[in-house]
This record gives sequence, structure tokens and C-alpha cells, in this order.
Amino acid sequence: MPLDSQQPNSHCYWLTTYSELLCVCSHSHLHWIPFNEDPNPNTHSSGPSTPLKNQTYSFSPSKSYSRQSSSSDTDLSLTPKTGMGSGSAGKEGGPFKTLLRQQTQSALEQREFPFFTLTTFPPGFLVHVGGVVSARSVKLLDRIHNPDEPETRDAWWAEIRQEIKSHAKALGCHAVVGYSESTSICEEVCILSASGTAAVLNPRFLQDGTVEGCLEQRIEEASPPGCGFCHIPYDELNMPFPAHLTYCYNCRKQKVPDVLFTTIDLPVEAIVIGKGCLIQARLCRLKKKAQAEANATSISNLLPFMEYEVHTQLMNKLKLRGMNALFGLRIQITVGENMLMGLASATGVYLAALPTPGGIQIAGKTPNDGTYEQHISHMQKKINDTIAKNKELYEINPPELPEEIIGSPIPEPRQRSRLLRSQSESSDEVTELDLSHGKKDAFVLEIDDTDAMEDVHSLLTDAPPPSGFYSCNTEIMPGISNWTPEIQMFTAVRVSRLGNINLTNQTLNKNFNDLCENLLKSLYFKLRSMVPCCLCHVNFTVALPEDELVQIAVTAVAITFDKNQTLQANKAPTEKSQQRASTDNEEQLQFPLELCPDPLASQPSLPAKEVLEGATSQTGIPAAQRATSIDYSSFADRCNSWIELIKLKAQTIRRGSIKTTASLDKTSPLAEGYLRHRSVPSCTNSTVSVVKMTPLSFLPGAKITKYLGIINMFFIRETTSLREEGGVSGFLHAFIAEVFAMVRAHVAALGGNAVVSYIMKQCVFMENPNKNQAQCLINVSGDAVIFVRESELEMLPVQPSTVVSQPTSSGGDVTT
Amino acid sequence: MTSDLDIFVGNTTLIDEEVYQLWLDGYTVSEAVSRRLRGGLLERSGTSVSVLQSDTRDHFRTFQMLERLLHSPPRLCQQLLFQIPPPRQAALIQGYYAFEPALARELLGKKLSKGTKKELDEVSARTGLSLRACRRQFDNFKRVFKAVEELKGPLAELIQQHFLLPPPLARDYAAIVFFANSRFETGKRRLQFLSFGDLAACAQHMMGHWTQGAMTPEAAEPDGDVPRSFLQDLKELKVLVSDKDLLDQHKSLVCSALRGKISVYNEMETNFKVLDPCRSDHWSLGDLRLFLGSYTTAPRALGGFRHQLLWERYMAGISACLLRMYHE
Repeated sequence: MPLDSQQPNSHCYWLTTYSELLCVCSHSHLHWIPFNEDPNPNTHSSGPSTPLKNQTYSFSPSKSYSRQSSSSDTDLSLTPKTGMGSGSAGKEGGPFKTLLRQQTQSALEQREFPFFTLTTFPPGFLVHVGGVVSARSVKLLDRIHNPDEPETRDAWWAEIRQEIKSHAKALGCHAVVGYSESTSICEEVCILSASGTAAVLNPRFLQDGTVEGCLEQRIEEASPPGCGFCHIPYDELNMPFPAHLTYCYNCRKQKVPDVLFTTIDLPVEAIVIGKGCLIQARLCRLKKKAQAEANATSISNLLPFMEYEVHTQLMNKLKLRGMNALFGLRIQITVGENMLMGLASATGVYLAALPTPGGIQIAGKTPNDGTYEQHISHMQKKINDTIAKNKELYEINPPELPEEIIGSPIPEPRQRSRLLRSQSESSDEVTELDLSHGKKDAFVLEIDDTDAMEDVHSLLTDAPPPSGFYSCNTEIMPGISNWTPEIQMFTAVRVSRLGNINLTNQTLNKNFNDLCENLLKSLYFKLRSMVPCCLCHVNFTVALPEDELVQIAVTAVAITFDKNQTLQANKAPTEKSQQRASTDNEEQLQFPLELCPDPLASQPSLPAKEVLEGATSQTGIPAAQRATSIDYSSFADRCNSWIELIKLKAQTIRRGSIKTTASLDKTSPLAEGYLRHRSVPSCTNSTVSVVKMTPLSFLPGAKITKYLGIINMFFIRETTSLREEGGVSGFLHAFIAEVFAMVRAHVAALGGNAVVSYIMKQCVFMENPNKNQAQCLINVSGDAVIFVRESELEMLPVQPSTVVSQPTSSGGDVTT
Repeated sequence: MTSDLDIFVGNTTLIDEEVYQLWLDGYTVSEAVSRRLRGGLLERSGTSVSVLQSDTRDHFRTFQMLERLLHSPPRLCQQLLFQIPPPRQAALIQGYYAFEPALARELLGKKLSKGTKKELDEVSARTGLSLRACRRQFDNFKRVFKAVEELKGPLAELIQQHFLLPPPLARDYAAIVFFANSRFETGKRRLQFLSFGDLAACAQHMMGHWTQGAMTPEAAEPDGDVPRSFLQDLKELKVLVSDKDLLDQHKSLVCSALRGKISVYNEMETNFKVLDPCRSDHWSLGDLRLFLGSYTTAPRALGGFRHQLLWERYMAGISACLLRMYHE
């Protein structure tokens, strides 16, 4: 990142980094510093420092950050320090572990940004997971001097990454995993968002060490595999935020938080009770139409409240399902002309290591009113019923643990956490409520205004998926393993008018909520023939193309699973990890890099090697780049050289020496398969090759034998005969069908038979019905692969598999 | 809150067979929705009316997009736009080309022209089919007719090839083309009792025995026509009727074999009339079969009858048709 501190101008456009105000550590607790308490109000008062004047108004980067008091290390020079033992980490664990951590930490800190955009890792890679860290910043796009040059934008992102990094540090973590960045633009205002999961990584994976080194260290490994990542990475006596800690329910040795939010997929080794489910928080906030700075300011002012509300909703919905952790959390804030929308999606699970969540308690504000109390108690009953029902639905039956075993390590004066409502709540009411009859960690929903009432109602209106359906936004559903090869990927798009007169936040919220719920319902209905099935990788994208118009696009894959084998679910993690880690030779690499000859790579598989290669297959880093021993003194060097190597490889790829061409002899076996049938014109002997598509990185029941390269395609379509083409729906339906077809054709032309990791990155739709016109831009990407069915691998090792044409097949496996 | 745009696109095109049938039957979206509602779908799936509406709209849109491909089924199988597993494709085609026998019976022997298309509303009223469904089926007939009109070879096979229809359906279409081509007056009142199935079977017998393709597989004539030469030759057979001598001999031969009283009409147009007397005399199907058999073979013994082969070819077709037509 070309960001140097001698470029003060790069900060001129800093209006407000709102994450200064709100440290979303999402451990169940939000660290919240209201505006007026901020020690350095200058930094986010964008009013006086209008960007135009800003050219003369510059401030040093370190000054521009007002850190929350809880963060122990606020030093944020743009050239990261490499000092040993910096930060608050290293106070737990044995001295060896501390050393390890320091080694890794310093190595990672030497990198400009210790960020991993990956969301899945080989078992043992994540030592600790701290929680979600996020940062947002509102910028004005029309104030960039040279819009064609990336410097300004680079500087913006650099600021945000620094912010993220400092948040991670505050959580005692040295890296950020599952990291992603996004923007939302409306006119000249842009919200830059970044989020990730603070984590402590296992240094073994980050160095050139290989098998032997790993095996040696395995002895030192203290935390058990199923729960280690849940253990807090921060110092419990000097916590960055008030958290509720207990001893791990799995190993009983280390501390765990009561709730864990992450942006990553569920680690394969995690011990989960029951099944998971998709949890969404939805929120709209009206804002006044304004120009430039005024607009940016009002957005900046709204953002912290929105994020807070979104977290509140997530927390409530999580509790309502009797779960204690969120994975794959993705919070999307979209800016429109007159409103802001927040949509958070995540997959809730019950982690065995974390404590059972307490219920939700409703407390009325006016306790003397009889009918009111009755109403409250009625609602309370409904909530309790829902929780019980959900526990049954998601099969959450954690083993009962006697209280004394777990104990409460930290003296807790107030044995409950209170659910805060941002606007309506005032702190003095806390003490007045008598909640002693509830569970000690019960959440309290205080109903003191119509807003809160609405919230409770919306909590209860979230319909569970119909029976036989599960949904998640992660790669795979926790608790389900026996997938069948039948998959159906789809994209659904809805554009809806959220009402146009006298909009209030409440009606807006309700409409948005209904829109999302209806969309999900219609997905369940459409795919009902696939039951029992799970919607995986459910990815919602919200856009506000016009006033009051909201566009939601969903891409997901429905995978059928075998209900009868659900009992074998505990076998799942290992199977899965093997599936992921099954890499045998160079062929398996995502890109056929020219590898240095490595004698070790051809060694018979050791368990640890498999693990390491799993890392390889995920990251695309050649196995051969791992050296044989661990040398702590040069650890950082190695880390850097490792990065250098990747850079080198990347350059090689760019130069075009990569062999992504699918040579004829190596093309998919299906080519021969369908050539044989070409002569007979009949439906059952189609000449069209079937190409599967999935947003996941794998295909159930199949083995990916070759990666053919990335597919990244942009399409723009315009019509001047919108009505004749069936209106907006007809136009977009045909367009998306064509996009799918073009991707499939492209993959088939490369000799592939599937696209994995498919994602629709952009779908910008605009219409002008009066002119009978519409335009749409779509950007999709994914990896073209060749896969072979596992069943065919076993049955016919020599014969080419006829994936395409199975004339009399029952239809079960020719789909998609 | 109204949804302006609402679409669902699957990598594998989702086809709901129930909705497809509703679409084929010519219902509008709202009609289809109410039909689905009446089917109790809401209770079974626990969903809402708006979901059902959106689902139905979506399916109908898909079918509309598929329709132009269905007009040429091989294109449906070769296109890349909709990924549909082959068995599904076959089901789609079969569904699209399926027709109501009552409608086909109405149109049989009529010219598949614009004029006939305009009469479809009457046909629709008579058959109880929606006009839209009638139009689709009429257009299908016309499309198939046009496609094979100029082609050579066995009709049913040609249709099967060009429209990828299952053999029985292809045979039915062949019959329709045959009738449309030769314009049999199937609309006559005395033939009203015959169903489409009867006539289709007759057409097959006639094609099987009389057409060029039946004689020489590499025939030069289109298969839907009864060859002109054959019709010419038939005139020769009139001797059996016109020549009093031959007729009497023939009659006596047949009578001696069957001891039954019959009347013989050899004119192709009128040969059906043989059925009426038989029915009025309560012949059994077996009797008729016996009679026709001996009637066919009798001229072998006739001296001076030179068209034995032609006679038997003609009679094979007639006999099969008569047997089929002869029902209560």
C-alpha cells in the first residue's frame, strides 16, 4: 500500500470515521462512546473542516484518531512498529506460548496489513478468535483531486485498515481473518466499510516450517482443538470492553465469552450442538436529503446508531434461537437519497464451548398499569415459547452442567447484561428494574416506547423456515454433513417501493422486514421439491437505486441432504476437513504454478501434512514453499520471504506463463462423453454440456480434479423496448439467465464442468419506464473447474465419466 | 408495498409441472393462482398468497421465454440459455405438443389456414378448452404440417425427428398431417361417431398400406399423400363393381365362403358405408373380420381379374380401417 505519512493531504477528506465512536467488538457487548464523551471532538466534526478548505488544513494521522479509552495500545503510526511484546497480548498461556505469539505478532505486524480475506482455514490455524472488528468512513467522492489516480482512495482504505488493525490489537489479536471491504455510493457520498474477525493465528502455518516442525510443536499445543479458538485472546483483567466471561464449557481450562460474533466460516474442528440457522437483522433509517458535507455529516451521525441497532437485533434474534455464536457475519449499510439501510446476515450456531444463552426478558416501563403488565407477560410467554420451539427445531440440547463446575471467575456485581436501546434508554432506569427472578444472564428488553414494541413484534414475526429447510450464509450448514450431489444455485432479485407517503422509520422498517421475509419465504416455496435441503451461502445484497426503491438481490445454493444419515453428523468435521485437505500433487493446486522440486511434497501423507496442504489448497500457495524447520530468530524474515514468493508467483501469473489452458488431453472427460452422442438428435442425448454452478468452494459428492482459472465477467445490457420484453421483470430475468448461460458456456469452452465460488459482485439496475428503457450492469466471478463424481471415481477409474449425457438416468444426477 | 420487479433464476431452470399444465391450459396468472389456491397448496406448503403469485408469475415468464424454443424442439435441446436436464426437456416438449383429441377431431380434415384459426372460438366453446389452448394446439398442428409438408419419408418418423416427440404422439401428428393433406371429409354427420383415436388409427392403416413409403421405403413422394398412381390404379378395380359378371362371381364366391349377405361398394369415398348395414344386422367384429378376409381373397379365384396385388393392397387398408371403425 503506497501510503506514507508525508502525504498529509490524504487526510483532508476525512469527515468522520465513525468507528471511532463505536468499537464493534461484538462479543455481545458494544463499546459505546457517545458523541459528547469523545475526548477529541474535532476529528469527527466535519462541519468546519470542509474538504475544500482542507487543503490547507492538515493534521497528522496519529492525531486524527481518537481512540476509545479501553484500547490499551493506541499507537498507530502508519509504519507499524515491530517491537517485541507490544500490545496487550501475551499475558496468558505459558512463556513458550507467549514467545510464539510474539514471534508471530511481530512477523505479522511487519506486514503492512495482517489481513486474510479467507474465511476457512485448516484445523488449528486459528488459535483464538477475538470477535468482529469493523470500521466505516464517510467520504465525499467529488473532492478527489485526481479521480483517475488511486492515491486518495488508497489513503482512505489505508486509514480504515489501520483502524481495523488497531481494533484487532485492542482485542489482543495480531491478525484479521475473514476480512472484507465494501462501499456504498449515492451521488457524491460514499461509505467505506471494512470488517473482519480479530484472531490469533498459529505461527506454524505462517512460516516455512513443514511437517516435522508441526509435529514437534503439536506436543506444546495447549488448547484442545474443538474449543481453543473460542478462548479469549485478550487479558481478562484488562478487558477492552465489559464482557461476561466463564470457563470454557468444553475444556474448563480457559475463559470464553458468553457470545462470539465472527465474519469467518465455522472452523471445521468446532464442536457444535444442533444445527445452525440464518439470522438477519434489518434496519432502515430516514435521513433528510442534503448535499455534500451536510449529507455526509447526517450519514455519519446516523451510522453509529444503526450499527448499534443492528447488533441489538442480531443479539436478540440469536438469543431467541437459543444460540450463542454468529459466523459469517456481514453487515451491509447502504446509502440512498433519503434513507440508510442496514442488513446484517449471519449464521447462528450453538458452540459447545460457550455458555448457554439466557433468555430474553421483557420489562415494562410503567409497572403499575395492570393491562399493560398483562400484555407484557403475554409477550414474555410468547418469547419463551419461541425459544423453546427453536431449541427443538435446531436440535439444541446441550448437556446440563452443574453450576459449580463452571463457576464464575469474575466477580460480577450485576449478574446480567442489559439490552440497551440506543435512543430510548436512559441509564438510571437500570437499577429500578427488579430482575432477580430471571436467569442471571438474561437479556432484558425494555419496552418503553412504540419503537421497542415494534422491535419485539418483529422479533417474533421472523418465521422459521418450513420443515425440511435449513438456511445459512456460510459455506456449509453446521450439523448437516450428508449432502447429496443435487444442487441448485439461483439468483433472485426484487425491487420494491417502500411506500411513498408519510414514511416513518417504523413503516419503513416493517416494509423492509416484510420484503426480506417474503423473499426468503418465496425461496423456500420455490425450492420445496428439494426438501430436505439447506440453502447455503445465502448472500443478500441491498441497493437503493432511487427514492424509496429498494433492490434486494440474493444468490445462494440449495443442496439436498440425506435425512436418514443425519445421525452420523459427528463424522462430518473430519470428513469435511479431509475433503478440503485432499491434495495430492501439483494437479490439485488452484493454479498450475511451476513448483520447485520438493522431495517432501511427494512423501507419503502424514496427518499434519494433509493439514498443511489443506492450507495450501485454500490459499493457493504451493506446497513446495515450506521449509523444513522452525527458526524463531528468522521467523519474520521467513514470513516476508514467503510473501515475496507469493508476489513473485503472482507476477508470473500476470505475465501469462501460467498454464491455464486446458489442453485437449486433459480437458474434462465430458468432452468425449458428449461427442459420442452427437449424432442422434434427441433430448436425452443432448450435446449441451451441463455446467454446475455454486457459490461454495466445493461440490458435494464430487472431487475437483483441476482448476482452470478465474472467471470474471462484466455484462451491460440495455433495452429500448422494455414493455415488449415483458417489463422490468422480463428484461432482468432474461438477462440473468443469459449471464448464467454465458458463464456456463465460458466454462464449458475451457473444458470445465463447474463454477465454484461463484459470486455476483454487482447488479446495478436502472429503468425509465416512461422512455420504455432499462439498463443493467452485472459483474460475476468464480473459478472454472473440472470435477469428477466421487461415485464415478470409485466405479470407473479408467473410463471417462459421462457427466453430461446419461441417456436413461433417473434425472437425479443430471440436474444443474 | 408493491414489488415492481421480482424474479428468480436458477442455474437449472425450475419447472413446476403443475404450473406448466396451467400455463398450457391457457390460464392467466391470476386464474392460475386461484386454481393453485383451490388445490390446497397454501395449506400444504404453509406459504402466503403473495408468494404464490410471485411464484406463478415467475414460472409463466419462464414458460413464455421457453415458448419460442418449444416451437422448434431440437433448438430447446441445443440452446444454452436454460439449463434443463434432458428428461425435463422431453417432458416440456411432450406437454407443449400434447393436444386435446376433441379439438383434433374438430380440425381433422380441415385446411390448417387462417380461416380455420378464426373459427377456433367456436371450437373452443364446443370443446370447453380455452381459446388460448386451442390456438396453441392449432399452431402446433400447423407448424408440424408445414415442417413435414415437403419432406420425404415415413411421416411419423419425420415428425419424431423434427419435434422430438414420443412415438405415439408423433403417430397422432402424422395422422393429423395425413388428413389435412388428403382432406378426408371427416366432418360428415355419419362419421361423427368416430373419435380422433379411430380416425388416427385409420390414417395409420391407410398410410401403412397405401402410401408410397409403405411400398418402397426410398419413396420419392411425400408420405402424407396417397400416391396419385395408386388412386389411378384404383379405378381399375372398379371392374369388380361395374362388371356385372365379375361382381356376381365375386359375390357368389364370398357368399359361398361366408354364407352372408353383403353389399359392396368399391368407391374409396363411400367405402365407409359398408359399416351401416353391418351394424343394422348386428354383425360381430369377428364376423366382419372373416367377411373382409374372404372378401379380399375371393378375387384370386376370379378369372379375368388382373389387379390382384392392387386389390389386396387396397383391401388391407380398408379392412383395417373398417375393423377399427366398426364399434358400437
